[in-house]
Amino acid sequence: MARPALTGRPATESRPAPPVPAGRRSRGTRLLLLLPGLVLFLAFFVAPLSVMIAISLMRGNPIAGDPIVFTLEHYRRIFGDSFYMRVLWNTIKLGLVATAASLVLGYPLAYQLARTREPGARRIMLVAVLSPMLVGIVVRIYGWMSILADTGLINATLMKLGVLSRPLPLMYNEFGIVVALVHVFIPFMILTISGVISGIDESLEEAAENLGATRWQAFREVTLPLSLPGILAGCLLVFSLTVSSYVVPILMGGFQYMTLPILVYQEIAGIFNFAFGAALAVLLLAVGLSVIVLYYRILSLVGQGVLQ
Amino acid sequence: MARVELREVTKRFDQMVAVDAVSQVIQDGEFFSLLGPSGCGKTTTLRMVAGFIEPTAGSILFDGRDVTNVPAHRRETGMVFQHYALFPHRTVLENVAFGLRMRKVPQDEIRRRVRDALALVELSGMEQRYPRQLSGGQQQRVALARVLVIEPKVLLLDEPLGALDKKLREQMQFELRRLQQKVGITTIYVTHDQEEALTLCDRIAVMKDGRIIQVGTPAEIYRQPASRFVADFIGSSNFLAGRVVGASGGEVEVETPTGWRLAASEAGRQRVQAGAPVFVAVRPERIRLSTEQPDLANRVHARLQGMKFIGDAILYQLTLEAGEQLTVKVPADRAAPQLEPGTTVWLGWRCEDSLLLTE
Repeated sequence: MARPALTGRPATESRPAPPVPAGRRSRGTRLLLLLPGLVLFLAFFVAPLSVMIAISLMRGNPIAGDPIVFTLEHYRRIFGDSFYMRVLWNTIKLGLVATAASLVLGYPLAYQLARTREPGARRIMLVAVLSPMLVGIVVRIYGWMSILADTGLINATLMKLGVLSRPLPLMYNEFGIVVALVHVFIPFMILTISGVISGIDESLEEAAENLGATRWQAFREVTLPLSLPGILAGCLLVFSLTVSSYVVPILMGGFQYMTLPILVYQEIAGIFNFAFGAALAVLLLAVGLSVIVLYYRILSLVGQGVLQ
Repeated sequence: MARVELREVTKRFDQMVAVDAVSQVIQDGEFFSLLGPSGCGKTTTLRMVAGFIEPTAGSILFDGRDVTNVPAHRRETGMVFQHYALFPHRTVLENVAFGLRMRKVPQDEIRRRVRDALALVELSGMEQRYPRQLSGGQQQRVALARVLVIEPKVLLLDEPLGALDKKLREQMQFELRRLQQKVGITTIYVTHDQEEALTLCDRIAVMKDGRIIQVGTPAEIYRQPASRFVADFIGSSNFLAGRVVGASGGEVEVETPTGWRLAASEAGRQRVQAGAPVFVAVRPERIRLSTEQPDLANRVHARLQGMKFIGDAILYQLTLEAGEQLTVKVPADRAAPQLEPGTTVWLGWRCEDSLLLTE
């Protein structure tokens, strides 16, 4: 059969058009297919962030007759004042401590969850891990208050027993905030790590034991390094969630412990200083972004053999 | 190297008996195979020898020393897993060095022994590769080098060729045999592939439902299976049911329900009573197919159902009057002239080719 191109006639209409290979769609079609994602991305990420960054660089109030001027003065104020630097450090410290505590407490649980084969036991563990997420955050924090407050369960019991003469400071400080933060965000750590561990072939540990490694050595040499991607992802999640959390530090800290999200809220909703609040929010964003950059750095460093 | 002894080893999981009072001695330097269908308890037995699971009852001895309660990491066995279980985050070098490092062997000795082990499996120069950069056959050889380097008392192989394709599997069979003979290590080889067991091993233990039902050299197991199950599992067999009608001079006469008289050699089997129900087993390649009555001790009339060309041979499918199915294997170069399905033909075989089975 002669090829249509040689006869100069268009391709025979009766033949079904061959499927267009992915790479050869017309420009228009490709843009059209991109559109939904693009709209979402623009409307929910690019636009608000641009507005926030723009506001953080402005001064003035047109309504009050104060002309708008672009300026770096908000950032200069943040970096020039030790108070804001201390709040920044407090926020990061809270994130680091809560992340480390979640990791230490969560890893054994995640391991157990991944290695439990019996479906009934597995289901119970999973529900137990997820249950904190089924209760509203405020309710959970009131639960912690009734345990940790000066007249709460622990202090009241110890004082009744005569062990203490004055209550231990368990709340309205860093300790109380970390306890509640860990409780709220640990499921993210457990589920992320457990997902990675359950993908590690159990016979690897057996092979290590067979070659002379004790249980602990087999874990340290094989399972732990192979679960590193899960550890990193879990830490990234918990850290970014804790540094941006607002309700927990405010309720458990009782305004005694200042963090960036609380400060942002006060500036914007309290004293209507949108520009300065936006600058603080950009700072918070920078903290989160730098952790993500760090995450990819570490991942590519250790990733050699760990990632398939 | 060690002599391995299993004494009444039993493993129960809840109510299920996985391994049922298995007793077996594996000689020093022997290549021993546990052969059976999946779920017969062969892997569970191997894992008990390795120390990954504890027997419910019974004991395991290496060179007469009871190791039943010795944990896996101090048992000095070398196990090659079905999917090799190479450490994906470690290079070939680190994988092979792992066991020596756990034993706190000095660095320069580790280097020397790893080099020798990799040379043994012909993988020199691959030290810095990661497992995922190797082919299946190469991964297999790294797994072997990794256990051989620690000079274990027993080499345990759990379906080690199962994940390879057919060509490579055959090649690795020879490789395994060569290595085992060179190192002279006691080896327990678990497989469900009868051909592998027949080619590789000094002795085979056929397992079924948690028990060893027959032990012998490949030739013994193939020529004198003790039961219908073994005869069917090792190679393939035709079975004809019948009753013993007489015995003389080491020959037993069996009558089939439709009246054919078959002769079978006793071949040292237990005596059978006249009238006892038995099976006569005969291998497909032992049966002669002809259009004229053959001059052989056993002959039956059968109807051709169909045939199948399998390359080096032709398989003929036939039925007897009572509906018994028979398969006859004829080498392709000696194949009978084209026969139409439905033709009636004669089948014949020698007395010593029919095997008497009581179960």
